[in-house]
Amino acid sequence: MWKKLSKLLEQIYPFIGLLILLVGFWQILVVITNIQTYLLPSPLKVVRALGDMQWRWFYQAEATSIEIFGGFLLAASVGILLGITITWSNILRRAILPLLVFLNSLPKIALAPLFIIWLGYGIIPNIVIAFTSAFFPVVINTATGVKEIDPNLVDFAKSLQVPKWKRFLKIRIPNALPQIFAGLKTSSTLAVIGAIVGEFVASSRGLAAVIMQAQGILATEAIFAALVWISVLGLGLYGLVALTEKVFMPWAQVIEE
Amino acid sequence: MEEQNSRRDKLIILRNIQKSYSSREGPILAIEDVSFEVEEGDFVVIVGPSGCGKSTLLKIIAGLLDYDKGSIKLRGKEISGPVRDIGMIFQEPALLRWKTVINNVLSPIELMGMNKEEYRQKAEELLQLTNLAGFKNKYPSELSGGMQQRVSICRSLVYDPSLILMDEPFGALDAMTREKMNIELLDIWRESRKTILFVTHSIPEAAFLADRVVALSDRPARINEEIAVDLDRPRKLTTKTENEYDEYTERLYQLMRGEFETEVAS
Ligand SMILES: Nc1ncnc2c1ncn2[C@@H]1O[C@H](COP(=O)(O)OP(=O)(O)OP(=O)(O)O)[C@@H](O)[C@H]1O
Ligand SMILES: [Mg+2]
Repeated sequence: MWKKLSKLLEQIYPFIGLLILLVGFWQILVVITNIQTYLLPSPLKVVRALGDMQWRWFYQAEATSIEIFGGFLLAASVGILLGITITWSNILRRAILPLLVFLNSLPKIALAPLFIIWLGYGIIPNIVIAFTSAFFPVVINTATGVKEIDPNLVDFAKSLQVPKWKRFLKIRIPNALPQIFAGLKTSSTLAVIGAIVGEFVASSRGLAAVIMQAQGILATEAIFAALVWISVLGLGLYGLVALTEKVFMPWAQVIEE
Repeated sequence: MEEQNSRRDKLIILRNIQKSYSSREGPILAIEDVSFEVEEGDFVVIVGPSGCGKSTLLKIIAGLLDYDKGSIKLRGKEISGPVRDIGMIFQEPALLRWKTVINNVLSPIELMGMNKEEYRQKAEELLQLTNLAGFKNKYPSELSGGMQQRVSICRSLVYDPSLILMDEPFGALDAMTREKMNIELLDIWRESRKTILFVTHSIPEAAFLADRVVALSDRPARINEEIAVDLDRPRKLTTKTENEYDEYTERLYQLMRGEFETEVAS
């Protein structure tokens, strides 16, 4: 336990060090240039804004987290399912893949008004926007992982007369786990972007709504504080995915140790 | 010799197998005409130059590839497609990297939908036999190439197929490990009373292992000759120092020389 902790510290202390250095530099810069707060607030002011309950941080972050996590979970489940589906047969792939590529090529922000018209104003359309932003890498990574396999593994299963569905379940899908998780990590970041984009297009609640309010009254320190919140949510989701990966793939860790 | 042969049952009979692959430049004939028989309990080695169609032939026997002409009979019955009575070991160990050693050995049981627990003891015995008992909870990535190949051998023995096909299983190993594995394999073969059809392009390995060597020509594969290797069993490292052993390798080199030359020329 102690060893693990010190190992973790060893990994992150260069980053913490750099962070402290940058923030310190920022603080000094603000103090010596005496720059106006609405242009660049000092880190201290940002910290104070984080503690200022006028902004109702927990209430706002709650909405944004639901959008991010909801969108991500949808993207993960639909993405994995679709990724497996398009590798099941050539016909399915030829039918579905072009459609997915087309949908993915549309800028999600341009879709946002549609979802708002269809789904109303609030959290739901933003979940959908987060989902549309995030699902594509999961599909592609899952499909690649399931498809690209050592042919000997397939032959091994075939020689035991294992039916196709079982080969998928027991051989191809476990074999694809590293790629699936790589896709999920990319998608976790995109879900954050999607949720925030959705809030910017239309919403009265959420961290992007705070940014817009703060912009209106030039409360720049609150914008920074909201950015801190967003990155915490993003890192939290990424960390959760990484943790799940460790649980699902204990065999991948032995290589590192 | 004749008399002894007729007393034993033919496990598998190949008759006039022909196989061509389709390619952009039209069909490539990989196997022209191959016939041979393997008797129950035999250790038969197929040798042939690189690219002559050895892997193709094994995959056909395993039911993993279609062929154009000929017939294959297992215990007198025509087969088409995979049968569970034939196991296959590949050049690379082809283990499931997300499973521990013991679960890899048990994976055929799981994949065939049988009860893993009933076979656990057998799996552990096999690991014992191949000196892997201490590694049963490791993952394949934690093992050396030779150890991985041993796991793959255990995996093919656990569900007890009568015939085991081995496609250059030790080709990727260094010379010393390879010799050790050869001796180990002969031990396993003797104890398990399996029939083994083994592919290699190493003539010393063929002579050391085989009851009978089937020598294939360069592509498209035809049978050049079959040679019975009557060296005493059990064979040990010292077998390789015997004059008789040298005579067999000599003969095999003579036989294959033409093939090596055409390979260099082409
Ligand atoms: N899927 C395929 N499609 C087309 N041609 C193939 C295919 N697989 C093999 N061949 C061709 O068939 C011939 C025989 O291949 P095979 O793999 O059986 O040879 P091999 O004797 O096992 O060679 P090696 O000793 O190098 O393993 C080769 O010339 C190869 O190019
Ligand atoms: Mg081969």
